[in-house]
Amino acid sequence: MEDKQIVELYWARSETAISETEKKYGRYCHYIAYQILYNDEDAKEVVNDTYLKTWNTIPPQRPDPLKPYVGTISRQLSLNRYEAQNTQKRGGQVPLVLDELSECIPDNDSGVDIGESVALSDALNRFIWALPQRTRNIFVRRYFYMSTVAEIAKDFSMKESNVTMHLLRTRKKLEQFLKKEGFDL
Amino acid sequence: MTNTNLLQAMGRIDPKLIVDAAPDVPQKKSTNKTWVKWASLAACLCLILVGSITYFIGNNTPEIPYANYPGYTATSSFYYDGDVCDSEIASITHKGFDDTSITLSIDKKTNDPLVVAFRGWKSSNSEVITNTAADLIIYVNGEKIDAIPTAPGIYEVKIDYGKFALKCDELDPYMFVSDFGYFSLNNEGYKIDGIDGLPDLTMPE
Repeated sequence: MEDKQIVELYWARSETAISETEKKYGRYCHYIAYQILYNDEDAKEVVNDTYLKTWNTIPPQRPDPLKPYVGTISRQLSLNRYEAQNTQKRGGQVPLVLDELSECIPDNDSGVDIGESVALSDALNRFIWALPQRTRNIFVRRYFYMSTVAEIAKDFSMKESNVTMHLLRTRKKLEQFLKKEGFDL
Repeated sequence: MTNTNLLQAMGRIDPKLIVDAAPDVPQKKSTNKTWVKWASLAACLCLILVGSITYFIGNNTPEIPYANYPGYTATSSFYYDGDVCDSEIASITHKGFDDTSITLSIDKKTNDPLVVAFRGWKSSNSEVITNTAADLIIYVNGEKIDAIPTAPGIYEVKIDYGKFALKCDELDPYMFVSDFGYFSLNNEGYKIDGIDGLPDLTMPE
């Protein structure tokens, strides 16, 4: 079923919307949740929460396409749960990704206001769009989807060491870019 | 700014970037989720009830059409005296259940979040002009809570119904068939108690 048809089902308050979302994006959402939580049961709960949140937000939202919409919800709910459970000991990609991102922004605990948060998202978008397509997709795979380096290497037919180097260079570029944009690093 | 801020900011990137870089995850071929089955069952029940239950207003004794499990579902068909269709729009108010003692009981931890569905009004033979969804309000120790609970326990509930208006059908002005203000709780382990009947109806004057 097309995304638009599924969204129409949500607008019509038809429960079929949820089963169609599950069929089309259930595993996709589970993938995102699992990369963060590293626990199958938690990931399943997050996926169900994703359906509920999608149900509660459409309407008024009318996302097109639906995929990044449910993906972003899954990611955010997973991060919330991760934070709540303090699952550092469990593993997963979050501690590693956070560690890598520290190279771009040292963790100085100064927080961020909403305006800066919007500006940061805007700058990130511009930065990512300016990257070559392959580099861009690798970067998003790592820092949005939190895919493992091994997985990225397999999907992009690269050696793991090359992926690591690719990411390292991109992070260096991001650090310079953010400094140039005037962010307080 | 922290690395966590950057991680959060990655969640707000352009949706196209997210789609372009999406991992190749196969779609599901079939669904096995228990709660989805319950949701489907509830939807079927609704359809059956819509077709089979008649609720007379006025001199007729109202029937109480609802199913308690897996949730609460109320549907009705009802007839009017012709007077109500003197106006183009028949406006009907369903009062809430404020004066009754309703509880939501959760008797076991479930992995599925509570799904409250179909909280609006529908009509199969008349155009719905306005539609105000019923609101399920849940209290813990007298305090209204925003999120639907998942932990086992008994919660106080109020159901706040709104109004809806139907356009009279010129071909059959004396009858409306509507699913009004009903909802279903599509989860095993969740149960609504204390609803003794349909909400009171206030007919247009």
